[in-house]
Amino acid sequence: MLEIKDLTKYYGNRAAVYDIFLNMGPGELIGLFGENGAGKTTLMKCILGLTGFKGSVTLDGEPITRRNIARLSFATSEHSFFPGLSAKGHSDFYREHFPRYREKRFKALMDFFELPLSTPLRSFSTGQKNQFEVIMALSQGADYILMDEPFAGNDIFNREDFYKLLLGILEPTETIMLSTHLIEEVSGFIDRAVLIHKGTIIGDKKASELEDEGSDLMEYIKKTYNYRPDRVAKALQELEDGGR
Amino acid sequence: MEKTDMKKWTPVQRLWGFLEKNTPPGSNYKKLFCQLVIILLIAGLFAFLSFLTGYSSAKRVLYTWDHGEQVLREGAQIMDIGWLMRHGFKTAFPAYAAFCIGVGAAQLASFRRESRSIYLMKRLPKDEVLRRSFALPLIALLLGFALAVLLANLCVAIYVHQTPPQALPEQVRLWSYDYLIFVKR
Repeated sequence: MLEIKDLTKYYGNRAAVYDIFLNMGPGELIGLFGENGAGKTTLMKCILGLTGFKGSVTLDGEPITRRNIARLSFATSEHSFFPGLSAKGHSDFYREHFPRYREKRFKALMDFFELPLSTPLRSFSTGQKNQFEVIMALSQGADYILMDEPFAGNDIFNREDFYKLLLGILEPTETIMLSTHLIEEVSGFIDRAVLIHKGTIIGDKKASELEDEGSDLMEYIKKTYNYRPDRVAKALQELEDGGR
Repeated sequence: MEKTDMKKWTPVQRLWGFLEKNTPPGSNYKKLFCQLVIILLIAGLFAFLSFLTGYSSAKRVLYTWDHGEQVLREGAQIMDIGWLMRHGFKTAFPAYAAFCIGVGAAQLASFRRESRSIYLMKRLPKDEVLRRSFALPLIALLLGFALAVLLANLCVAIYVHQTPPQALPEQVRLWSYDYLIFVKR
């Protein structure tokens, strides 16, 4: 269980995230949603210890240190691979450093995305780089896989197939936290939605609960964010009235 | 390179194998190592030539010409060896050391360039980033130190051997007696 208690992170005087309480259990597929600047990336970086924060993040009761951090992996749109190293080189590196590295999964995903094995990563296209980033996060052998906008720049065909594949390869103990703006695309794939707004969590609901309520993810998000469907029409009307 | 083949590796292959594991993954460590060696050789050459130039001038002023013959001036004493080595050694090797430190800093920064591979490195043991950033510059510094010691010995040997004994400073004369015995052994 990954437990986040009273997590707050300031950048200067501005709180990027504050009062975050969140538990992530084994096997959950969590969607982390929020507008740009809501604090999704900061939250993930705090969990991974990539930035300092107040509060606590524990993994099965233990603080996250170098001893247990290999149980977490991270796929980020900033990319965390070595640009001059080939995919094969990365595989060798992970095998050497992560005892639970999943080589079979790596090979299967490389085949699926048809990525070259021996070309340095810097020569990959942006889409290929994103795919590779996700492949390594999934192959590290981590229990908690954090993905921050992993598919920015990928075409829809690759994304949809990938979600299906992901559902097929994940083991019951593997937990995924996926931050994305592509809400509709992942709505059938995630089983819990966490909504973050201006640095704090404003909603946390399981897909099964939404189903019981006869609602869906999109509706839940719109409701939680006080989405006003008439605001576009209103804005256009105002422009019209003002003589453009 | 496979671990099982390690015993069959030549020293150069061993060096490359070591550097591969102790430099930022994907970096061109062979090229960087060769560049550092070339820069070190240039630094060494500069230091040595500076000494030789200074030494030949210092030696020239020891003599005077008498009826077309070169004669040692009476009471003439050659310049102190520390002074002769000062310019070359104190410029070349500290500059080389600063360059090595710069290489280390650049390698450390490389984990944040083009991508954020530092995020991955932070999931590894703590010394991994520092080791991969500074192992090669440290080796280069040690090589630099070894070359400096070697060249300093060579300069001393030239200074002691090529200067007429009566023109050597008193302290060197006494010391060189022991030194020459040591060298001749």
